Amino acid sequence: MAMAMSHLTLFMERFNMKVKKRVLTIVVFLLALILVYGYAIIIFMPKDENDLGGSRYYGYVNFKYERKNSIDAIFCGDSNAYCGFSPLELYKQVGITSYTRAGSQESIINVETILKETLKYQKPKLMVMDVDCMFQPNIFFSGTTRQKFINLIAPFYFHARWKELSFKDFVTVPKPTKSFLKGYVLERNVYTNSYKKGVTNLSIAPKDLDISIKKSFNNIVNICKNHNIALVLVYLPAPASWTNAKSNAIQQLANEYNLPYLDLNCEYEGFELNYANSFYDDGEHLNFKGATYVTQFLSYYIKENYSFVINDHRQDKNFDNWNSLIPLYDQLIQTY
Amino acid sequence: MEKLLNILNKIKPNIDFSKEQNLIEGGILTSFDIIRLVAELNSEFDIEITPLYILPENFKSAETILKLIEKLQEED
Amino acid sequence: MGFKIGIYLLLFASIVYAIYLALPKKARPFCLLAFSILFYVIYSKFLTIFLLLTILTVYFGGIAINKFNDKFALQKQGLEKEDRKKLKQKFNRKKFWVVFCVILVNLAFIGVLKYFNFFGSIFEGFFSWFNVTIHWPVLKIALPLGISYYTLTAIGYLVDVNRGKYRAGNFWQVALFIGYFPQLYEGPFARFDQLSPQLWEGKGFDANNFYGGLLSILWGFFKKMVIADRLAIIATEVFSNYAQYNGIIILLGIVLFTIQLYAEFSGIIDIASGVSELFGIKLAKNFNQPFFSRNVGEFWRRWHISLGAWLKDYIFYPVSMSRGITKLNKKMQKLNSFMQLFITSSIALLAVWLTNGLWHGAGAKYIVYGMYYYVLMLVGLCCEPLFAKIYKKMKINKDSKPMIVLSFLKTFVLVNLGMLIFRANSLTAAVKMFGGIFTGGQIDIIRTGIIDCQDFIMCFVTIAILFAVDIIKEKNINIKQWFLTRKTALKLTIVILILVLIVVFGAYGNGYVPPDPIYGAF
Repeated sequence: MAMAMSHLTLFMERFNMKVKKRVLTIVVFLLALILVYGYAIIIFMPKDENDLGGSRYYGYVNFKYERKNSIDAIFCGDSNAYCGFSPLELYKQVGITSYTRAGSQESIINVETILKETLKYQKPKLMVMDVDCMFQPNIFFSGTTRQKFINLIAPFYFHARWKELSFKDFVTVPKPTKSFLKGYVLERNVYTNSYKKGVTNLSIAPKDLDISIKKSFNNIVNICKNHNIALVLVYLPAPASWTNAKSNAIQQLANEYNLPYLDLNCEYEGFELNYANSFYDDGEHLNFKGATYVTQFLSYYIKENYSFVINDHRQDKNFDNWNSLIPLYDQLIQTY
Repeated sequence: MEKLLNILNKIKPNIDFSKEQNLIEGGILTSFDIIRLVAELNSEFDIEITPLYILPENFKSAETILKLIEKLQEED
Repeated sequence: MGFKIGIYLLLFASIVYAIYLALPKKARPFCLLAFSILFYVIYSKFLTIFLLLTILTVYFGGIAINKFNDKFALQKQGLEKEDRKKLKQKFNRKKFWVVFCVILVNLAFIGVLKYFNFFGSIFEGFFSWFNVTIHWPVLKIALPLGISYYTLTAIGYLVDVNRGKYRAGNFWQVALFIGYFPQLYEGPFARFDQLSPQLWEGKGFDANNFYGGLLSILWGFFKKMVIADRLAIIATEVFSNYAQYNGIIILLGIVLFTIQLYAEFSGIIDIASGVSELFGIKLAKNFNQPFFSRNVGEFWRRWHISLGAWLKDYIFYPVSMSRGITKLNKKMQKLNSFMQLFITSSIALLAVWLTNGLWHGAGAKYIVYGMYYYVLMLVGLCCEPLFAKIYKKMKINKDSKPMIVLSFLKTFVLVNLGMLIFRANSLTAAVKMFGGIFTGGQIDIIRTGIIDCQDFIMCFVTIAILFAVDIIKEKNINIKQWFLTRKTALKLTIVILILVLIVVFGAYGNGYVPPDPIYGAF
């Protein structure tokens, strides 16, 4: 009996040793994996706005590094918006500061979240929204949650940076600072296409909008009212996805809430976009040429209709940090 | 066996079928050779080789083909 | 492949795997069946009814044949030879009608779902010859997943049962055999006697199956996402906008498409086989280094092997050994044996290539695709004795290394021409593209903006990797076996390494456009 007991205890000890060893190896292995993955995140994260995917990422997260209450206007929407509104171009034209607060596939519900976040740091007097986001299905995350998620999957999200990895990437930890392009994503490619201006046709039935979308829109209008923000609706040129039904749905809302609505996909007085060379893909996203033209047009529109927003900072010493960016911006545009 | 070897040699003259053991896998007999062979065997031995029997193991060598013929002759 | 789809598939496979292992042995096949149906319903929703109908018709057909065979065995006892023959014929006729009806019904399903609009256009075209305008309604319906695959697999099963190769299975066996989820997307075509026993073994965890399956899955993803999706950047652009390009760029587009198709198709087959291997179930081999073929005939024995095998067993042999052909043969006794073979073969081959062409797509273009290879095969058949004489006269050894390489190149060129027909937007487009190769000398592909410099170089680096692996396999070196016999630590390192390569160098996400798998819409 005693023999059996001692055999058993010996066996249990050995078994425990084996199990302990196994468990230890697995734990060490997992820890190593996590460390390596963490390092991979550091490697693949873009280090500044010039890196692949950098301007999109930093344009977004660097918003909170703008001086408090220094932004006059914000541009909101989805990827069409961050390709189409250039705050530096606007500043160049009329001297007001702005920021493009938009993200890929953001829906109106995400825009609402972003607006609320924005108001923590800034007191804009004008909000220009590209309405393409009204037709986006809601995605999981938005705003800061989304950025954190992107951080976590950086080796996948920014994997295309393999083409430009340098020594710097292996030794620098990404650190956000003030944004250069202020949320605008400059796309260089010119994709020649055969799209043309659309034609307004109010007789076509407006597209049905989901309850949640209308609710979000209502919330945004209310927030703008409560914070004295002038709201302007714009449908940026996107002939690949624009339809009369969509535009008419927006027109309906604009009428209901008494908001200005510029459908830049149709004939609009003074708006003469060169469709053939203004897109970087097949008629959906504007390239730098298109964005420059659109922003210039909007600058004149804002100057004419929203003079109370205009507070030309170009001579103001306090806005030297913006003034110094303009020549750099010009240089960047010239190179394309 | 004699008859069989004659037929085989008619289809592919330069092969020594009494020795070869890998007629299908070794690529010696192609699908076209098989159809010819089957047509001849059917008429010579009064049997009916259906596609069911066209398996690599049945046509591996002259011996296996002979086995197939005998099996079909016994069957009804 | 969208990274998302890849993740969903892997997630699904992992869940099935975990549950499969947790269940007792007898329950495991049912686990596979349940998840196969779930997989199908998620993908094809209410179109699942067609899969179920095919399973039911083929199952009952098999049972009927079993019954007839049993009745025959009983009734033939004690009969004379003559009577036995008559009885056999009677039952054969009954069995024939069962098989005929089941096949007809299933062909009707796929005929309507896949070819309705094509028949419509032929119908309209025919009547327009007589200046009669008919408006054939256009059917706008998605195809049930893998209908082109499971229909033929099911027909093969029933024909095998009819031939007496094996007895018909029970309902669960038939259902799992036809609906087994790894083979639904792009095949391979399975045979009941090879697949079904494996499905019902309910093998438990086996380290070799696990690592072997994992290796295949990763290699498959590598081929699809790193190689095929990258080549697609150039290929898709060239085929979509061929009028803008000429010279070498069109040639590049065609050749890269051929390699893209190979990497993608064999990659997806590897993923499917790898997933299946986790369960200890080996699927049929579908590729055997096809670009090491000396002629087009050999190519089709190395490419999409299970399709070629299916056509051989269920079209080529039945047609060439059918009563009609045998009668024709008897009438042709006077002709020399070569002519006899030629005529028999050309009829049987016509059936094979018409089926092959039509199977690939519902359109005139695909019939031309089939006929292209048909003509090549016939020419090859005809010219074989002629070439043999030429080689003898010129004292060329056709088995010498340079001749073999030359034959590989010849086959490669012919295959690329076939791919041009297959992939071009239309026959007119194919002709225009072919002409475009010889006009104009556009060389700088980087300047056209289709692809950037690094990705372009990557295209060729990855093609070199693909080629190297194929050479190793052609020399019969078993890479998987080598992998399985390494220490666990090394195996895990290799697995993680391949995973990293896929994540970093895959052509997905920002900056890359996700293309649709080509053989997946079947």
